[in-house]
Amino acid sequence: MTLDRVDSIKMDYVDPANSLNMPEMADMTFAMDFLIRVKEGVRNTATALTETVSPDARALLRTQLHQSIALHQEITDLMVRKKWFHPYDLREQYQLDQLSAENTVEIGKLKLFPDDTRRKSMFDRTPDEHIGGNMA
Amino acid sequence: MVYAMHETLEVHEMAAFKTVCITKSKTMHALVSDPALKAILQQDVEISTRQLQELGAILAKATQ
Repeated sequence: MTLDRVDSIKMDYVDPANSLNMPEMADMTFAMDFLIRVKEGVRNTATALTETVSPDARALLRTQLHQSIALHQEITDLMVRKKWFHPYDLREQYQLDQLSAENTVEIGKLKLFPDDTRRKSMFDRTPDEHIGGNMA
Repeated sequence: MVYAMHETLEVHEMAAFKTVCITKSKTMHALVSDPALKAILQQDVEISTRQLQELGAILAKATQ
């Protein structure tokens, strides 16, 4: 492929023009990721609590469960306020999900790390040689 | 043994999950631009660190 200067500029996906609204979209994704993690945390703690009998372990897990639920409420409220999350408007939520799915597919197509940056076999020894890491 | 085996395993699992969560929240904190979201992530790191220490205390007692 011949690299045309104009083309390479036009094709440049790190061009700020292509990053319009990117911080907001990234924040939305981070918030969603956080929501999923907090939600899983609440469920994990609740499950652990139902499997526990020792009073001190139960007390600790119950406190942590309450803290996790409070955190979940906080992130949900923020996402609803920011209009990143529409629990009452299914149509809106669907369109938003569709949009982020499309964006994610587009990001997946990008060649984000064009050059081979591996440094393997450039050194004559490895830092984990003493535990046999070079034989792995 | 202060705790039953399955309790220890359950707490161990919680600790492993919390570790991943702290790492992730801490990393994401640097990438987020919204101040409110940043504040919540920071809060999560602090709370989860404390919770992990509490779980660690139980695990230390259990493995004594």
